Amino acid sequence: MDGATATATPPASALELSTTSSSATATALGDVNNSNSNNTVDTDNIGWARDKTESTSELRQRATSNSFTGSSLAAHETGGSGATPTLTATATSTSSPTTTPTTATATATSSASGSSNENDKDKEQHESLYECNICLDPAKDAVVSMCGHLFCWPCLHQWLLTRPNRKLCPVCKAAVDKDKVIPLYGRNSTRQEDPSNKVPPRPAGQRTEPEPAPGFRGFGFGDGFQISFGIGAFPFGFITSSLNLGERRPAPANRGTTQYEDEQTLSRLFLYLAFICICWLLFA
Amino acid sequence: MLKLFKKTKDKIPKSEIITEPKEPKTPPVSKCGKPLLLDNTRWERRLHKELMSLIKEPPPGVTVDTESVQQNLSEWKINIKGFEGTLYEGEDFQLLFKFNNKYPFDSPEVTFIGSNIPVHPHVYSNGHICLSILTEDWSPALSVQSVCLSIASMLSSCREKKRPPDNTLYVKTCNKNPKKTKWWYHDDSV
Repeated sequence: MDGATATATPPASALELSTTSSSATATALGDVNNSNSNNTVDTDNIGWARDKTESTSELRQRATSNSFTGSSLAAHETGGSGATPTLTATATSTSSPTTTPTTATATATSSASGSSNENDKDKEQHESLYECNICLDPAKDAVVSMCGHLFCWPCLHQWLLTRPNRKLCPVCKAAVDKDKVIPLYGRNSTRQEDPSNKVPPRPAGQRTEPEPAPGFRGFGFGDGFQISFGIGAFPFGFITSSLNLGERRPAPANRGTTQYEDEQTLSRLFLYLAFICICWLLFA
Repeated sequence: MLKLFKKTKDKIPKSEIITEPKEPKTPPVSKCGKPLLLDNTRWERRLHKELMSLIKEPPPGVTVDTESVQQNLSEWKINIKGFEGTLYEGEDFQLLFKFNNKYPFDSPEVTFIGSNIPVHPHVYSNGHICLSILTEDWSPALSVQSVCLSIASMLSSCREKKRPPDNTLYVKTCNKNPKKTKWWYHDDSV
């Protein structure tokens, strides 16, 4: 029967679709919606197309969700035996707008009719671990607060706007700052945001270069060997500044940061200074 | 000299950071009304989810009036039982939850309705409830379930059945919507 296979497959596909969220809709809807992610290029052409697809998908979605409540409520009234799989039905109906209303209702009814197994429950629980604490959907453009609570970035942003003078974590009421949230980039997650929404872009992740692996790297002209140039009184200055082996230098700053540019200008400055000194020593 | 140099260098990029990120241009066609539409489905979806979990795993003594919800998703009637061993044992109460389209960012409007309104120092005789999570302490991570639990706990911890001291005055003068009242939360004991 078709229904049996349908019950088995939805959770997995729903998970796949929903975890990649913004990009998922693009892949699901194919070419038309692909324009969603990069419509900064030519907005005029695509605005219409996207609008149309979204409105239809939304209508479908509403249709499915309405029929879905009906069936699940009915299920509850008859004894609530099929209550567990209904959530998976929501997931499919909401995350994949391409599914036609008929198939969606088919899965809903077929799952309500029986076969609620432990596996489903486990999966459901596992999925709910990654749900946004505000919209209860799998987190889209996920961010984590410093207190460790997961949200969609649009949801959290809207909450912070709702109470601009009291920015608290919705879950634990710890202080939350929009500059201190950590974005989560899963596999295949694009950093591109949908430009049509008004939410500012998700804060970027902060990364530091890893420390070089510890170990003995004293000899050989590897990374560890440096010659520095300095000016000092002859015997002392020579000893202190000529060779410094063993001591590890701090990791270089990230490219693009202010510190990196700083270091670059400084090193250039000292290079010129060295040239001048050498010239001076040679010609004077 | 080196320090000075560094300082001036630091200052330049800072001003770059302060400047607001450029808002991406949105096509004028979809700008009006669309975000609201998206929000609409979002709060409906969340209400659906809450309804499902409330039907599936209701807290003790709490049942949803599914008929009322089927008629209108934004108004729920919820029956709540007085727990055994408390002053409200054997009594049945009915709560009305009203959600607006800002839910869950805005708290629901929760009142007791029906013939039996609990006699409690924080419940007015018109059904209004003095509970901080219903206004200023609301958080979008709270749910219908957690509000029901809070109200049940509030009832259960009551030591003496009595109305709030300003009941008659308040009921005469208050707005129909309890969220319009400026509540003063002073008593955490009950």
